[in-house]
Amino acid sequence: MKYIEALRNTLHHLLEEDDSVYIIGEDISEPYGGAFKVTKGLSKKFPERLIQTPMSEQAFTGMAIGMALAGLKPIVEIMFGDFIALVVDQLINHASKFWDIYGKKLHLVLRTPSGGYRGYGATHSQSLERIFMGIPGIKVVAPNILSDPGEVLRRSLYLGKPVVLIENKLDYGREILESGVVDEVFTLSIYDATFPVSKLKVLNESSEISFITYGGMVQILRDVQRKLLFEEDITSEIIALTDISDYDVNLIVQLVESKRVLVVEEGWSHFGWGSQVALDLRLMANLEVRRVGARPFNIPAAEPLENHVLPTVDRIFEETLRMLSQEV
Amino acid sequence: MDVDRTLYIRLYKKMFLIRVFEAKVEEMFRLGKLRGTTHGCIGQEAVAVGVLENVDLSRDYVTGTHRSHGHFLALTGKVFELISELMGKKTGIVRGKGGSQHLHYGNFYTNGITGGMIPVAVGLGMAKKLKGEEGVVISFLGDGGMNEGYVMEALNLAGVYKTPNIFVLENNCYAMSTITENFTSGKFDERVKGFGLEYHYLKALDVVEVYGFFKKIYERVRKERYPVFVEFETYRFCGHSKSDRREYVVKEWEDFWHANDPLEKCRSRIPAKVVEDVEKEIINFVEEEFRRVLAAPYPDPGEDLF
Repeated sequence: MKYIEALRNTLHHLLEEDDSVYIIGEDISEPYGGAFKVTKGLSKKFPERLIQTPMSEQAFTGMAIGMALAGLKPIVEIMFGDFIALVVDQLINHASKFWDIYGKKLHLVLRTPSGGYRGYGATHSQSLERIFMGIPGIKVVAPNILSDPGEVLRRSLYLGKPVVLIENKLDYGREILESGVVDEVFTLSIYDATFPVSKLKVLNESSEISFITYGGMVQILRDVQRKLLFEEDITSEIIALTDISDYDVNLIVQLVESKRVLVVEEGWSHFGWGSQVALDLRLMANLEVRRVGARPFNIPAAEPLENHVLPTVDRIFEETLRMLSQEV
Repeated sequence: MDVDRTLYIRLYKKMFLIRVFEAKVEEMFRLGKLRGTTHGCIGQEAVAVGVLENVDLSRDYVTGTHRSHGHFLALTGKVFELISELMGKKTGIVRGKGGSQHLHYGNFYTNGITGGMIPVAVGLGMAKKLKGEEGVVISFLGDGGMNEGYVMEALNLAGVYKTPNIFVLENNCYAMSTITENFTSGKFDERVKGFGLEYHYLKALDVVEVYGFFKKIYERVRKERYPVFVEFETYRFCGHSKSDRREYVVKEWEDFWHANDPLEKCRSRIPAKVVEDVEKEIINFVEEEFRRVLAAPYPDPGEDLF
């Protein structure tokens, strides 16, 4: 099943099963069905449950927070991940405080598609989820193609705490992998924590390097993984987190088979998500940890420039070889 | 005793309680017995009391602002719980975690971001509408909040979705030290009407007038379920917050409001003997509650943080 279908099916089921679920956002109803078509068709069956909005992200996010305070379960769609900059105050200064200081359970999910590689330029390509990481009272989750995105969405909605759910634009059209043997030479295991953690590694081989990542980077790392195996005979594993703000370091350390870890993210490296992950791993285990992420430029529209700024297969591949060439 | 007088007495008790409470808070700050900050509502009591006398928290939602001690006391009269919250005691309404600006009691919520509760309030109204529940959402905001972008967005949404929201603007003329009318292009009433919302205005000089004026609006919104905006002109006699020396005030406005203090007006409608008894009782009550709070426990990181 495709990633987008898993999300859409889950939205459909949630609307069907639970009367308190509502979907809120711009252009989500028919005939448009959302900028990325995730809600396509839903307003036909549930006309009262899709609340289409004007372009007022701050106010309709606040409205969703109010609905959640009143016991409903709103799922907000922010059309592009870049636009979450508009809703920072409502999430950080309102939702997170109601959950924490007022001790209110809030069933609230804010979904947004993140990421670049499409030539959309500086304000439609970013991975800004870092803004919400480390904010008490907000959880940041990101599905990927190594487990069911719908399940991540469902768990987010029933968590009782505001969740920012980072989808990936390029993942929408990709097939979700089933656990077990993949492409004859790899094997996928899914560890069922509060939010799933997946590991994709070479079948019956121990891994020489571990990639820790989330979201759309999984696909790029799959290409890296194949290139390493087929061109260099190097075994690697991809450990993909879905709970990216409150991950279980112990579980990650248990899953890591190698002594070398490369933390890969699409967002900017400097002050990035990977900095915290790398530190957590170093404090917990004696691992050699490096990082790859976006270079510190606003994301350019031109393809060669965008590919210079964002992490690519070649850059991760080369960084891996460099790590493996050094003694640990 | 006529009904009118009974009402004046009932509302006077609440107004006086708020004034005494806020004065006591200022005193405690001067004495260094309170941490943090506070935003008093001395002078504005008639709006909180007159409006909220109509409200039933078991059915309605009320959202406040950073300046909401008066709203809370008008709704609940719970002095011990509010002082506890201000003093960071476990007996506070949110176990001392919120302090002056972050209050939650039943269907009453406040927060410290100017105008930020207005979008949330539209969501509460939306929930009422979607669930088909009775009751309305009453939301206070200040003149400062009227220049925040998401307040304008929220008024638009309320109009689009026809939510049962009553927005209550307490226009006390100053946004901190900024004279609001000097920094507002156009007029608030024109803005509100521009969103297609019904707009009402009253100079809040007489608490009984505020009560009756709001009652009609409230009953209509309860029945007919649509958003309404109500502006009350009022005045704050105290500083914006504890550190404000009020060097910016306009003398003409000061003189007018001090000569027309709504608390004095209300007092003048009640027999002197009753006033004396009521005031003595309230002053003693507030003093006693402050004393009780001093002995109350502080919250514990192990139990109260999660």
